[in-house]
Amino acid sequence: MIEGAWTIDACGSETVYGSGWDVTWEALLRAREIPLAQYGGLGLMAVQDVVKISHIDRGLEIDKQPVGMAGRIALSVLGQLDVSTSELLYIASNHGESDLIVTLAKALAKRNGADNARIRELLQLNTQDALATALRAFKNCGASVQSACSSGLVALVLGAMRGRRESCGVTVVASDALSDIECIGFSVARATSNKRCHPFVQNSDGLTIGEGAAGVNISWHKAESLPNENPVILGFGLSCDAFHPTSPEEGGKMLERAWRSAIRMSGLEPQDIDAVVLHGTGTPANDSVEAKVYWRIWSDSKPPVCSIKSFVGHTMGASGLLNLLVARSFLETGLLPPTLKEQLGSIPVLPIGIGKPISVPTPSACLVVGSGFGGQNVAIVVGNSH
Amino acid sequence: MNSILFFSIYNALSGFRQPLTSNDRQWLSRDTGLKRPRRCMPITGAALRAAQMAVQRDSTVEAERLGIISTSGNLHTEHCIEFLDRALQGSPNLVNPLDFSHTLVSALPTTLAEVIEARAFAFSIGEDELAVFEILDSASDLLELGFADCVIAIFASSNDVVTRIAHETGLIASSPADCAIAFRVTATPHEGSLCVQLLPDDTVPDIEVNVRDLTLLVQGISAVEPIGWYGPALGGVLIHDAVANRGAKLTDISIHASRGSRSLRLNPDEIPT
Repeated sequence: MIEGAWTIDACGSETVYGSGWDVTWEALLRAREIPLAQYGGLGLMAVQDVVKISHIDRGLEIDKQPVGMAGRIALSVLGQLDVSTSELLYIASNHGESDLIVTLAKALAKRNGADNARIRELLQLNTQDALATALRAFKNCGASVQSACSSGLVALVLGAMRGRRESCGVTVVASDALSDIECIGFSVARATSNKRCHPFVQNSDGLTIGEGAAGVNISWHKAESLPNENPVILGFGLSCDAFHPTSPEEGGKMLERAWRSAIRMSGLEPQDIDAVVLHGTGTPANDSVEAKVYWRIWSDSKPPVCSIKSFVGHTMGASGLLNLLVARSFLETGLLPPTLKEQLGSIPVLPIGIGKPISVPTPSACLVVGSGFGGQNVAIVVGNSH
Repeated sequence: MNSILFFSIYNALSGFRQPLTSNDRQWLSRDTGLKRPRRCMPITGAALRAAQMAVQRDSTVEAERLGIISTSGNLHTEHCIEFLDRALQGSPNLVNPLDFSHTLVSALPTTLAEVIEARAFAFSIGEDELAVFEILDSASDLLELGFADCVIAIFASSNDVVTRIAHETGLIASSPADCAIAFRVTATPHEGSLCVQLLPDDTVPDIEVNVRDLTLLVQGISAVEPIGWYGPALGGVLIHDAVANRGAKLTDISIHASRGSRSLRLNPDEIPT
């Protein structure tokens, strides 16, 4: 018997499909692909569509407000959530504002004729990243969290724990945008695919970089007073590979520890898990480790899995929270989105859906997974409150 | 609910400027075991040394029960600038892929975790002067829920270009400074540990403090001269400075945040003998 759980009271998102989670969920169930944009020679997800959605000016000039794409879509998601019941805001990002910081630093170094008062104004808006602007605008305090591509889920874990301790509602928003640093970095690391990524099939050859934001409102309830509504966050697990700056530990020992820790905290056994929403980047390094851990844990029950990155791209710091929203909708509908639109001759290495959703009648629990550079692993179990 | 934590403080060290000299690299590799020092953000070596001192005192903690939380902020700015300059002005092929990870501020805690073998968790939190609350809040929760037995909290700041300009234009009065301080934080007392109590809001502060003015929050040691700009590391620096350098009594120390009415007090009643 667990002590209690966190209800997911509201959610919001910005993806290549548009604003609001319902839009993205419908598109994922239909395996609707948005054409890739070619940007700087890299295979990227629909840059122009995101720009169209959010009306972002990606350029930064010293006489403009230095809030980039990641900051703006984070604020958009914040606007989709009813934050009147939240007292804490946790925000998370990865590379989204790195270019912004560099550009700002260079612009400031040159001064560009700006007077000291204007420079001070710019600096106050930008310390670590422009998302801090959202944090400071919020009525109460929270925290800004960075843990590479697991940032969103780590922020959720930290916000959940503190919300429980202080008996208050928590809003968590994660956001990331395309940046030169990110595109160049993944490219030189030979981690990007020139075509749409294909997670969990043989011969998958790299990721598709995307951008997006996601957010949730959560609140803690003791078991005896848990509202009869679904789904809820039952437990979570954390671990660090402590192995390599960019590569996961090949055996997946610490990854498995995080997954099992989340299941244990939830008062469940592995066979109680009805589906797994994996990190599934499409890189051989990530996907092979996740597949190894999956087969060690579920060689008998074989719950279906999915990755949404073939459709929305790898949204980096926001990817984990988007996975959480997938799990929430899966538990509400019994439908797990397909991982690929079509098979294209490659053989799946995990039980993924292709072209159509996988139906699971009356699901009761789903594991959500996120990982990041440096071997930062997070797992969260979402389940029915009863 | 008030959280009680116990911690020890380990040295503040200066960072290194990039590019590192060969002596720097030799020292970092030989004395700290830091791999690929040339690929790391400048503060990494100093932070690692402080973390190692904190860990050495407690070799009984298993790697899987040891976690790292570090401050965030502009630690990676210089590294990002160098990375982009080399890629855009030269060629992307001139960039070493291993430089990429340190364009993320969270590469600091994960690099430390790799060397000292901390496998419970490693992440960055807190981008402004109130990071001390955010780090200790998180450490408290993670210890209480059993995710670790010991947390190494890293308070780091870097004399990066943005902060230097902020100083030059008068936004911050003090000179930017590099530092790395490690707290070894546990939920139970350990030898020589200090006790800290994280208080919720509604606590009337002994001294109203505006952290942006860099006021040292030590009752009885008024008008302490500015000790430099430490950004997110400020809380750690203040506690370190008060205890180690200024002879402050623990009963005198309290830190109050101007945002969200947070308080942090060293509580003499809880100090283990």
